[in-house]
Amino acid sequence: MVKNLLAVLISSLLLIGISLYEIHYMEREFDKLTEQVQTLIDKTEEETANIEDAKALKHSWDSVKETMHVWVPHNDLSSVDLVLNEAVGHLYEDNYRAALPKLVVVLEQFKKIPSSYSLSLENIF
Amino acid sequence: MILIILRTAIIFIALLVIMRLMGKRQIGEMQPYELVITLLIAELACIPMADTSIPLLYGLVSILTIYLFHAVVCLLDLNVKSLKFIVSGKPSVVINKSGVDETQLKKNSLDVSDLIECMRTAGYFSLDSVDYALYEANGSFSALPKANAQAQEGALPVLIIDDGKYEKENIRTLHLEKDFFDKILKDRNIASEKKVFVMTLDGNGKVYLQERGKPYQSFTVPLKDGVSW
Repeated sequence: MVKNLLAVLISSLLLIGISLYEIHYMEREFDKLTEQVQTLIDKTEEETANIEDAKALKHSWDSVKETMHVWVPHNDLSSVDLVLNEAVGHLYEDNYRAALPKLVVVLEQFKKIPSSYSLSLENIF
Repeated sequence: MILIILRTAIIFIALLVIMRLMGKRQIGEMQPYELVITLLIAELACIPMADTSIPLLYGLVSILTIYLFHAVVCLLDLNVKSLKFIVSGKPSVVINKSGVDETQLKKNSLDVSDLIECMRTAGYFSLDSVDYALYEANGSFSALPKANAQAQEGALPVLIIDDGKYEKENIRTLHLEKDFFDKILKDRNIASEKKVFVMTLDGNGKVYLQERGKPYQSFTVPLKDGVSW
């Protein structure tokens, strides 16, 4: 009886703790990344973005990605990787027209990933 | 993770309801929720283990959720009797002193041949050798034998009428005719086999006969010369 009560209490606390941390962590990291991409998009539109700006975003993403693998299926992260690398490549060549749509896709992915794992009816079913 | 927890909870409850609806024959010596857990744990452990694109934490959280449900069900099982019957079910008395309880049998999706098979597994070959027989909540079979159960066990009883229908294959195997059994029914004022729920005959000529909704009767009939098993 006591063992069962303890089991219920500890496992509930663990599950609630993990869930709350995940929600907080995902929101915080993706908010930061979204802000960075938005800044890069603005610079790309003004044609003032350079390879260093792109590398800075790539670096931020890579460091977040290491921990993000714990929470998000690896295929979702790989798809961001692919589009982001393409955008960096275009900025390396100062090809702003080609880089812009890629960055918009990255921005959408950064918005979509956390919402895919949030609590909503469509995600549950 | 909250999604994983909720999805695991939904699947757990859905499986538990289905297992309870399926009846005792699907369970096999486990409580319904134990079977559900056994079914789920194996899959939950395998998927993140084999598919490297899924974070391991998904599997761990699901397993922890299952463990939480197990602990909750155990608590309910011990402390809330009314919920215990809903979650785990209750034993069904399928044979009582009046004979086979047709309603209980059908409620558990079982027929007479299933019952006879369980009786044989438990060591009783004749339906009238037990006072009571039960399917426990975990699907196992228990029987309370009559005081003279051993003496009653003669030659192997064979099912002749099962739920209003002759078992033609069994009648052929015994080298008997349907008319022989029609006459037995007529002697007992039973118009047709459709009114009989169960009838067995053993090698010594002992008949177990139960009409629908009536207590069983047991009597002996003379077998034709040369017919024995």
